[in-house]
Amino acid sequence: MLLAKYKNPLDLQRRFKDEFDKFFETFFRDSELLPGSLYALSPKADVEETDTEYKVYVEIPGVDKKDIKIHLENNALVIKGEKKQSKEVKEDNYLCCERSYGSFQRTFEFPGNVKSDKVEAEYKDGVLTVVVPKAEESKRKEIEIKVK
Amino acid sequence: MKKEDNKIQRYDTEEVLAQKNYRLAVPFADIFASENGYRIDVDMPGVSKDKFSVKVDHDELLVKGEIDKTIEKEYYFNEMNYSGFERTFVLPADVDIDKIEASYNNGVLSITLNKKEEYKPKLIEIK
Repeated sequence: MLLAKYKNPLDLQRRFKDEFDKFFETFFRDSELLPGSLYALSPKADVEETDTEYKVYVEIPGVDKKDIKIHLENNALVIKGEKKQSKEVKEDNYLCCERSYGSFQRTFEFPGNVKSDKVEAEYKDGVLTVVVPKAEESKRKEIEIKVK
Repeated sequence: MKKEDNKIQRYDTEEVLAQKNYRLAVPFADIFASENGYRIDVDMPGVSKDKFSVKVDHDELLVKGEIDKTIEKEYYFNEMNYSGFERTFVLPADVDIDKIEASYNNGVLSITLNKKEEYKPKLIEIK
């Protein structure tokens, strides 16, 4: 286990940022003025870390597989795409429109080096999963220290 | 455990799990009308097909879906902090509840509601 990644009480900046992010997220999510519009630009994501890889999950319901573009820039994973409106629907047929359409983008920067040639992505049920393996030097190593 | 500790540890796997276990999010939806009925598109990403439940009770349509995702280790972000989605729609009187169809594609649940025959527009021929 990493040493208290999110538990350091001195890491005030990050904690404040988290709290503010959370506040704005819920504020706009619950607001009827902007239903989902901010979400279009930046879809929701989960990022997990294991000893050997990072796993990124992004929620992009309604996006076609061919409209998703993923690439790595240095140590940052960039996910771009476009959600297209279905053509059969005319605008005056809408009774309720909360879902948003248009292009979105999200970037994830990893703290350590990654193997850029071994990245794998899968899109299923509206969730994009990208597995990014860590480079050898960023993997966690166990070092035994002998007590003299 | 002190209250303060709880707040800081909100990214702990166990707590994330506990959070996920009870929270159902309200999904975003689009509703379209046409001559013969309505269509409801609900964003429900991450729900597999067998974890859906679409129920009609009198004039209410209840849509529910569970996400089965396992949490392996530590989180950097955890924004999808819910175990599923749930939303109720009140159906108008002209919907034929025996002819409701649902399909799921790319994380979007599409429900087609057909109007009862007597409510459909009819073309009257002029003799």
